[in-house]
Amino acid sequence: MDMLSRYLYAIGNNLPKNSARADIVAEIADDLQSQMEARESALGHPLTDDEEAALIKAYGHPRVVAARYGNVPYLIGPESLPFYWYALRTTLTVIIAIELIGGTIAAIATSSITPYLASMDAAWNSAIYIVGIVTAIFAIIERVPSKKSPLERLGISRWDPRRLPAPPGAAMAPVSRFESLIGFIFGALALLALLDVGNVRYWFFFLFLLEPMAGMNIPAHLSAAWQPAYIAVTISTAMIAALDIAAFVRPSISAIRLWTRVAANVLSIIGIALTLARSPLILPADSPLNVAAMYALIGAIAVLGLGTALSLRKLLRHNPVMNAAARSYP
Amino acid sequence: MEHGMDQVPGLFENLRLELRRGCLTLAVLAQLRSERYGYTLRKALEEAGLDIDEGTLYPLLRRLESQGLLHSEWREENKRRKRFYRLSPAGKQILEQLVDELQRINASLERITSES
Repeated sequence: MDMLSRYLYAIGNNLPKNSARADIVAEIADDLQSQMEARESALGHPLTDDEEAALIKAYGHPRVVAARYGNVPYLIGPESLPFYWYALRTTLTVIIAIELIGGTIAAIATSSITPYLASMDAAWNSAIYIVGIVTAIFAIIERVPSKKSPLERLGISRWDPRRLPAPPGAAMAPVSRFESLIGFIFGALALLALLDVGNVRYWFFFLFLLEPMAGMNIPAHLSAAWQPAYIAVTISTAMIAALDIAAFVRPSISAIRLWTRVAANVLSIIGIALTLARSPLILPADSPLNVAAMYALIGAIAVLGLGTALSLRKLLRHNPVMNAAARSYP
Repeated sequence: MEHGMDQVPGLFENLRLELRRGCLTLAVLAQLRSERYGYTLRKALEEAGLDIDEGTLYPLLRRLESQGLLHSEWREENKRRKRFYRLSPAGKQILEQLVDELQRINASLERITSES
């Protein structure tokens, strides 16, 4: 079989089934043969294999050539695409948020870490299902034979300019959904650890603190002085986690989220300071770990204070009053 | 934002193709006032200064025929079967309307570009 026949066969194979395949291939064959003849008379000799191959290659890959005759419908048309992304984003964020919040609450209620881990697995599975279902719904709407356009079928053409929401007052950029989702996952884990759900705290401390301490054979446990710090840090962790998941659903609340962080940090600093004012931190009172615990708490206050300062600076920079003039429309 | 001379690579090419797309249909219809087959049609357009590659031309011819603007028939010429195309009566009518429209657009563009 010569090169041209193979090329034509490949094109024919890739043509849409309902098209006049033989007809299209015959026309392409004639065009290629005419090109070859023209080239031969220009060169003054029959085409070599390389020259023929170059000419055929310039005509295009068989699939590409065949695709030009096809009338491939959109999976989701350009008109409905923005609404598809919107539906996908909204459904994904709401379902993932509900699942993660549910998992955290169930973990606290049952004193077991399992529901929290299961909720992450469920959120991942839901995400895959949601992408599939939303895509299928839009693809079906795109294909239903109807006199109405896809936008009319989705009910979007009924929008009313008078009902558009007002632009947000705050000038701060929305939080990235990824950032707030990761923030919530770790925030919730920290909360579970603080509440000692399902012995999480035991594992944390065992791995990071107690095991090395046990190796050093130093008897130690926390005194009642820790209570204010514990209560304040637990509440502020819950506040931060709650606002993280809220910002995941609605990224435009970035300023509220940041203010909450500032408030939570201040609360933690007060709690830790109250703990520092008491002593001893570690029992027995003469334990050498007392000094280490004191420095650790001072370090925590410093870190929290720095974080608060940075958040406040960002908040003041994006103060809506200060930015109102810059944002006014020409 | 001022970009000056640093335009996005391929931008001119994209805009040029967009501009050409409608004009090519008109040129093909106009050339087919007399009967031609694909290869000679392409050569005629090339000589007139409008290059069109086969990958664009043949699907275009097929679409115009399915829209009833062209007639085609297979005939033998130089010992090979070739598909000859010519304008249908509906095609003639559309061509006249398109030429009028193009002249109107050209006149408007002339005014707009000479103003600026």
